[in-house]
Amino acid sequence: MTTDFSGPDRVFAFADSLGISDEEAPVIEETTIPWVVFMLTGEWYALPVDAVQEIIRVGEITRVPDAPSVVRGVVNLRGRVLPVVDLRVRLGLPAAEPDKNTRIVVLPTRGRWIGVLVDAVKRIERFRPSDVRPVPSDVLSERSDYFRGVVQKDDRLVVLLDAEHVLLVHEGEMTNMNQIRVTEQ
Amino acid sequence: MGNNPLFGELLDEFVIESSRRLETIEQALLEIGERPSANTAESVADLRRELHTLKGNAGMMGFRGIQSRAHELEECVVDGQPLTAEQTSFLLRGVDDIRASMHGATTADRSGLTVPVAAVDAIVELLADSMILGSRLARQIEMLGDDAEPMALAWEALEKTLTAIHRRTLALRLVPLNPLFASLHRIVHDESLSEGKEIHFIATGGETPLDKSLHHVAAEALGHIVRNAVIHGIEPAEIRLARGKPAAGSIRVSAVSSGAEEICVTIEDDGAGIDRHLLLAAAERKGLAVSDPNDLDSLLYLPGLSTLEETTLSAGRGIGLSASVTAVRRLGGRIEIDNRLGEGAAFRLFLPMQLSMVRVMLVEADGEQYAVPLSAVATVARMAKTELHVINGSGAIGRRRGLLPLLDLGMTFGTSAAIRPQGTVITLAVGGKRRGLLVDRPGAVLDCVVKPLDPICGSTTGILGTTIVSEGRVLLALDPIALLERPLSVRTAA
Repeated sequence: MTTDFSGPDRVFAFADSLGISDEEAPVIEETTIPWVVFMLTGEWYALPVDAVQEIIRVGEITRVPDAPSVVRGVVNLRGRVLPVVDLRVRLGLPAAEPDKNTRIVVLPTRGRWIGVLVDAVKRIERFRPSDVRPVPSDVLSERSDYFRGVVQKDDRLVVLLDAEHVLLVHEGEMTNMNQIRVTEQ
Repeated sequence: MGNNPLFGELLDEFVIESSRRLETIEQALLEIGERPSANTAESVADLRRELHTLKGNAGMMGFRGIQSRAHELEECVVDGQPLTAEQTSFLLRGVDDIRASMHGATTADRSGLTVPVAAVDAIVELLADSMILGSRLARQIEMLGDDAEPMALAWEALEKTLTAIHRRTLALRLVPLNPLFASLHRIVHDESLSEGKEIHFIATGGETPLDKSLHHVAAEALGHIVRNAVIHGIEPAEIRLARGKPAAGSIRVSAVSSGAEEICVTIEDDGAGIDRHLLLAAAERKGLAVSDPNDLDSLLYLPGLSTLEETTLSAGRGIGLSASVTAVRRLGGRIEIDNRLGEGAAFRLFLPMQLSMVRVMLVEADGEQYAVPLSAVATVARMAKTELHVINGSGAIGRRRGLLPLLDLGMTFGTSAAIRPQGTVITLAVGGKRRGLLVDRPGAVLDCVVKPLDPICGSTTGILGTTIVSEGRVLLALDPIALLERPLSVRTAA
């Protein structure tokens, strides 16, 4: 597929393109909430479909010198320049190495759009709110307020993220790491 | 009555007429406040008449609030008696109130067709986008070869039309500086009153046009400068007399189009000038780091610096000027200071007349491309290995007027660890400062729209914003002023 999937409808179109048929979806009793499920370093994560503008392929990312380490650079989306946050770095994981599966999930926030880099988008999945369990407190730190909970699905664990909090970059992370310090000529 | 088109027209007319009337009243009040000779029975009677008409019109249109406020003002003026300072202040406050309540009444602010600035901005943006798409189209046509000649000609004609529409649309946003000057006059009036100083305000060149979207930034910066001039610049009358100056100070504001695409607003006072030692002492007291004690500009724009011990409501907080200088630079402008200790100071604010396409030159260093505003580029020349001199870790190259210091772009942005031994030197020159930007090679010259970076990218120095080039790639536009000020060597003197 080479098409971009924009807007909530297009997110579902993206799900269709992944070949998920309606038969697979269980009969809905409790109101379920759709999530965009994606991979980061082999683990499953999800962001609410409501918070996602669209999912795009990775084109050329322009590096921004002196930018915080979580900011991978900027990209052009139909004439709009948006910053791309490396979600792996944001969650304390090793930086992403983009390949053909890498996608940018575009999140509109506070009147602007910010892209987050993920390893691969897997599917759109509906979860029942009653299936969401709290994240075990011993894996939490004071900076992990972006976890909404976890869902156990078959033998997989999906970590649900909060779109707004995941984009709040803390003071300490504003320091840049991608600059070579030169002290000797 | 609200949906009646005739009422809409009348309303527009009322607002336009009353805005002019308020301006007349404000000007007359400022005159009276400054020159006792203007405080005559005749001018007071004029004032009363204007207020009376304003009240009548407001009543006719059903604006009870404006009507009663105007009535209070009219009652305060007594025919045949000159105004007291208290009366003048009361009337000026009233003018502000009425202006504020009228602001909500309608969008009309001048005769003819009135359009919100945002609508014009939207068209400008669409036009800029279509021109970028157009250049992509042109490249495609070019690849088709001779067969596409008619297509190429058609595109050429369309491009000319697009450029003309773009230029004309931008011109719609040009608005004279007069209202901005009136607001400066008002600041000088109010501040000198509270400081107990007598100051003459002289403005010329108010007809000079400036892009409406730049008025706010200009007003902000100039407001800080005149406030500082009244509070810190102009000395108290007794000191002025002792120094052989007239008791009353003066602040002159003038504007000129300093080039085809640039305006320059000068604010000049005949006060004490800026004492560098006072600024240094203040910085030391506050524990602020000073990069260069001889550089007045960098001292003056230090965030959090004020030379006054006490802090007044309007000035002395020391945060304003540094913030406005940053805002001005982001828009491609600059501020220069001409300081004469004991005689006064002149601030010159340069701004592009229009916020629009910027002509840039592409440059490449270590495989990364950047856009340099062409207005800051003086010369472009290749540098051979033998021409480079390395002094104390910094590069320099011999030029007719002496050694030109070099800033290696790759080293600046962390892509290389040492000065490249050969490449191209782009001489940046802004306001008398010169420096060579060392890159691998220059690229094309093109027009582009520069948009600011998202704040999540942090405070990146040396970058003006982003721009999209014809292939859809995002490039970073460099900030020549920041590059001219950036330390050349990371090694410290110690």
